[in-house]
Amino acid sequence: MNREYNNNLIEMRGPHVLSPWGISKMMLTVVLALMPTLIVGTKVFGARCLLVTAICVVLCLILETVLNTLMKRQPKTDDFTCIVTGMIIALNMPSNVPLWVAGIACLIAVIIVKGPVGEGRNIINPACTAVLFVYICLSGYLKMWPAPHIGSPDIPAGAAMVPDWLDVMNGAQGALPTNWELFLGYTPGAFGCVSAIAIILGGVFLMWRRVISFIVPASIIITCAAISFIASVDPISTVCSGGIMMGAWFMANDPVTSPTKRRAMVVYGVGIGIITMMIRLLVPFITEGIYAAIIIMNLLSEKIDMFFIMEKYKSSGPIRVEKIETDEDENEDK
Amino acid sequence: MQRTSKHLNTIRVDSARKLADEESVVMPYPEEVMILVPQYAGDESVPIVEPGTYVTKGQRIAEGRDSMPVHSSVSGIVRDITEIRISGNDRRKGIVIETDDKDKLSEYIEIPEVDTKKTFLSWLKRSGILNGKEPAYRLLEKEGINELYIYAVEYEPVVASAHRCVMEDTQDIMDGISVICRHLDIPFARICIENNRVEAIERLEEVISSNRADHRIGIKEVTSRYVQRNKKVLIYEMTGRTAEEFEDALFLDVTCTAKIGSFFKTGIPDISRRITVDGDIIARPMNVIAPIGTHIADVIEFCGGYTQTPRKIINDGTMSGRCMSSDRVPVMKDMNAIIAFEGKTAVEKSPKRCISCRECVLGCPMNLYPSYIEKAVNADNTDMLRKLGADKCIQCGSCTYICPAKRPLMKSCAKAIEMLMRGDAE
Repeated sequence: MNREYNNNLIEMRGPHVLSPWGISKMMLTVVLALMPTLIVGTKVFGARCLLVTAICVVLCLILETVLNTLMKRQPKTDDFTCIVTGMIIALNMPSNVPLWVAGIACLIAVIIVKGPVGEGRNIINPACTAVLFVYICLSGYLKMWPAPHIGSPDIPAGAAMVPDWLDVMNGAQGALPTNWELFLGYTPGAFGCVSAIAIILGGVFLMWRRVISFIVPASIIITCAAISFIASVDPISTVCSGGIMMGAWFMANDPVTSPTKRRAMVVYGVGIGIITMMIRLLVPFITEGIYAAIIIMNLLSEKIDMFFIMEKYKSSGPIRVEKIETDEDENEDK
Repeated sequence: MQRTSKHLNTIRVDSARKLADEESVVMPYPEEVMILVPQYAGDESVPIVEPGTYVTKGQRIAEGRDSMPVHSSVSGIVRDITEIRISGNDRRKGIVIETDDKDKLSEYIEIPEVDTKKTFLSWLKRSGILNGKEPAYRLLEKEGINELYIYAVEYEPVVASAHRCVMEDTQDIMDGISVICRHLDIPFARICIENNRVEAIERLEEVISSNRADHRIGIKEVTSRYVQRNKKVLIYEMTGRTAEEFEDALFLDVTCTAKIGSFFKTGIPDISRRITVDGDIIARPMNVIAPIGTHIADVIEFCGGYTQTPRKIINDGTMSGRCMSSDRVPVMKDMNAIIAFEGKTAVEKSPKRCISCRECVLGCPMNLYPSYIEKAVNADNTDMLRKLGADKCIQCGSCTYICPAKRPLMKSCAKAIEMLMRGDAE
């Protein structure tokens, strides 16, 4: 039989059609989710916010590409995770931040925290570390925040510098924003962190797209509210002020640095809440505690995860099944 | 027993079964068939015909001492006995038969007369019917069976052969159930089917009520999800209990039951197969009933041929299908689908680094941690693999499907199982 057969066929195993979801799409979804808070921040604080965001994103992209090319890593842009890092760094800065400060933050995030280990292996959140560094070491630039362009009548509009809610609670002179202003975002602060409603919108969008789970944000917010209630501080103001909302929804559940098991995520979230409130209430010279709290819990997240996984498998697993027969060998399990 | 949730985890696979509504078409005989010996793993048959012999349809052409015989699916002259590589290291002998147009039925075929369970089983052994990948008679030989479950759930996305079997061979299924229940003394049979296949359920109910069988047949509906074919998953989904509590139940495939029904009525052994032929590069995808031994190339030619050069051909669905080494490979008794891919969709994407996104954990029906298992395999840590329970993996491919970094998790879980078995052996 003279017949032409196709003999040059690929042989591989495993699913032959994979889901269309990928890391790049995940990152673009996160960027979309950050849009509401960026828009609200720009509206409240002016167009310089857009400039800061753009500079941070472009700088992160350039640094990441250069680093990966020098270290001969593929893919060169790491699937746009650097865009998200850049945006989160920018959104945690006040709108009048000098551009070189934002540049240093990007450098720390991309080159010092994520650079040596590569994508997916960093232990602490790069954006969080960069922001913490700026807040502690360059805090001279952050003592007073620019006033919002839309605000309560007590706070004069314009480029005057005023203290934010946390500073006022810590004894600075100034007007305390109301809860409604804190929720909507018409208060001084980092331009991406002021509007709780915009962040919540973005967070719900991410939950709907199954990128994050609600466990970590819920446990952080509930813990913070509970502790502040016990300490006789208004829970809503606590939760909507500073960086707790941004940290809970976008920084704490960075998949690389947070645990994978649900119970471990609850412990992680509660731990972040406790440390944040301890820093806010007990430490005098640091007003915002969420960044340090996230970093501390990141260091512990793998241990917590392993603890809960091992605990589950020590008792009988959810389904007791015999070992499947993959070869002629057939062992009895347990 | 601690149960974490009512349903097992699953993934949302794009199960576009566009061929579910197409009627199966019987293929005309090709010019040549190649019947593989052995037909299933563990078979020890050897050919008993020489080149030059004239064989008829249904005649035995290979036998083994303790295995089922292999029958010819066409009538014609045996041309050659060659060897062919199916996939990987799987090499088998193939009896090449050149068909003639006479379509002569063998004179050795007789309608079975069964009175006891022993004769029933010996007839079943002579029929050559497989249930999945093992001989049906071995399953039915077990002592102490008093429940029968027929699973009519679909194999995998894209494959539609189980659905078509339910819609077209419904009377054969009923005959098969009644013959099995009669000879094995089983009072009640249940057919498990997904609850979104409304037409199939209606058809089954219609035939059950019009049949007036002396054995009660019930329909059990399960939710439609990806991993259904695995027996343990199916048992848990249906009843919420583990597989060990079902020692006395028999699980049979619906295609196997239909073939048993038709064999005990007509005496013709297992010589044709219903296959779903699909893929972007097939001109006219359809469900085909092809004689066993037809080259895949001939089946695809009947479906209109390729529109582009194929780079990968798999059998049995897109999730856990095996790749065929060429399209000269013939249709075997356990084949359910042929799917062809062209160059761009055929290759593996290069994997990126794991970002611990938990998608694999959320998708695993056995509640395992594929990301940690992969890390332990790369670190060669057998202890950790044992602690993570890697031997429970059922190789369904859900984790690999859903992984955004496209990491080959199923491969590392298979390697983990191998490492554990090697470690146990030492």
